[in-house]
Amino acid sequence: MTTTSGPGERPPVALRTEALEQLLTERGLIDPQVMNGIITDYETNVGPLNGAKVVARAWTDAEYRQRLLADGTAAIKELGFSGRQGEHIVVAENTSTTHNVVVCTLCSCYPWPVLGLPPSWYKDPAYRSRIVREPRAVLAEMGLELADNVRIIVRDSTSEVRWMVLPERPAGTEHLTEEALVPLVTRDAMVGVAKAEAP
Amino acid sequence: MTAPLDIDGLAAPPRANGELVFAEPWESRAFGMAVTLSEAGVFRWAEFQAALIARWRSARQAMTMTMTMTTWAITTTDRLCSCL
Repeated sequence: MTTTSGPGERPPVALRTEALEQLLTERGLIDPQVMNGIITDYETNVGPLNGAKVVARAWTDAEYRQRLLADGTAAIKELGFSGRQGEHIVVAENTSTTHNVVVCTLCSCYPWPVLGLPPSWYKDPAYRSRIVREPRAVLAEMGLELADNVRIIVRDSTSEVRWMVLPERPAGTEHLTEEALVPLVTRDAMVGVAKAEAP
Repeated sequence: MTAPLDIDGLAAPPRANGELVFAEPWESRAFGMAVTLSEAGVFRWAEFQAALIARWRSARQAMTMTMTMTTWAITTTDRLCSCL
């Protein structure tokens, strides 16, 4: 058996995985449609964990919440998150009457240490211009309908200041521990284009 | 999404700031198969995690490996073969 492989050749483990998938499908153990849905869900919806930990801490520890709103970068660093693109993070709190949403109108400034890399729509020129002009309509298109009496504040991130949203803690989660709250916090909720939802 | 994926520990798929990052398409297929089979009741997720940890430990004794998504996915396909 030769150990060299041509440039277009696929590694044995990839072929093995494909064969495995075929066999499991033939035997009726997996439905490829269901599996594709699951993969897409995990790839697109499993949120940035660092930011979620920050939010869950703020929801359960009033003093931490105060520190987070007073000096985002320092409070985030307390949990061990800092680094490139996270030098000056300012946290804005969403409430039942005020809703913050973040954009970078200039490019795609984003607090990497807490939110990871920005999603593709965040860099989209349409989002960047329209969220400023007609935030209520854009949020509704993204699935977030806000009542007319909710004030919307659009926060413009720059290389100097990177905004992160502290979403409102969902009703009915009072009994949950900090650890159990983490999975409820999505990336979209921390950008302000969605709300955190109870499980 | 119902499989309670570990965040820390040996059975946890590697993440970058919470996001699963697949280097190759086959890695996401291996991951998808594991979750799909668990959701279909072929095995319980806890049982899968235990098997994954056992395989991972024995692989580590044989050689020095770091848990990248690739090694996680290879270990996963090893476990899935026993479903056939």
